[in-house]
Amino acid sequence: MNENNFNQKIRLNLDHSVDSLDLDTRQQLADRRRLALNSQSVKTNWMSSQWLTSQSWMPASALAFCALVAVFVVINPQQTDNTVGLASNNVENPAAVLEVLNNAEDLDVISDPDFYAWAEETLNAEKAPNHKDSADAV
Amino acid sequence: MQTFLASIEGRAFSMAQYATGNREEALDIVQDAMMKLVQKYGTHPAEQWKPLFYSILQTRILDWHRRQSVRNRMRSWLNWDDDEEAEDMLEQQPDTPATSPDVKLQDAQFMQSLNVELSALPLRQQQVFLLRVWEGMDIAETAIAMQCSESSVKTHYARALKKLRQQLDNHH
Repeated sequence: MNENNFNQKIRLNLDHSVDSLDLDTRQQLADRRRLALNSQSVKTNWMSSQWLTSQSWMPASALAFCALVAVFVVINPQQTDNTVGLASNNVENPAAVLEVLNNAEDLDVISDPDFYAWAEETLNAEKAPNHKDSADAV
Repeated sequence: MQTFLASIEGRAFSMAQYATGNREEALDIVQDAMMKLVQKYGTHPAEQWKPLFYSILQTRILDWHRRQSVRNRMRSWLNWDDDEEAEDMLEQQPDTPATSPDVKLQDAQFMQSLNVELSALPLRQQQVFLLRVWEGMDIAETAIAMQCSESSVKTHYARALKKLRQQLDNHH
């Protein structure tokens, strides 16, 4: 018997052995095949639901993030206080601010070191009688 | 996919049973292979299913043998009594046509010897021979399914054929 005939004989015998599989084995194979095919649909459903969920959450998450950023940027309490403080300072002393800005002489004095020496002497002179007064009182 | 699996499950079961000598293990292996094919490669073109399926099946069979060899080593260390299981393994050998009523055209003795000799082949030789001869896969397809080189396929096939012919040719 040559190789082809030998292989052909083996093939026929093997095919016949499959054809003559018992009913229980056939049933088991069919059940397991169905299980495998169902596992695909279960997996597909799970994946599609997951995809759907992530897709639907994406705009909601983006919206929430924008809202959060808006809260921090627009309604930041610290920044609001500073703004209000600056505004209130401007509102409380508008004349003084305008006077300093308009009076160039005053600005020159503030940048002169002799002014600070004079200011210190003046302050010491003012403190001395006060100190004396308090000592007299004791 | 349904049609493909139905057409292939019988042969896959027989291959797994030759490799494991156990009906339940063979059924589990076939189910695992079908599940993996469906879940991972279900969207692939249909002409790729066959080599992919047999590749998965052969991997599952190899995994099973690895687990068994570890288990057997544990048995030998712990001196477990496995006479009962050996008896079961004999009962689990594939049915021969001799047990069916409509096998007059078949050579029952040849089939019985074929079952014994196929089961006795080294695993890789057995897998290559069945894929080449029964599934009709060419050398390249078999190499892909077995995840080995084409020259290994040729070697395994030649050795398996030689052994089987030595044992079975005297039936004719």
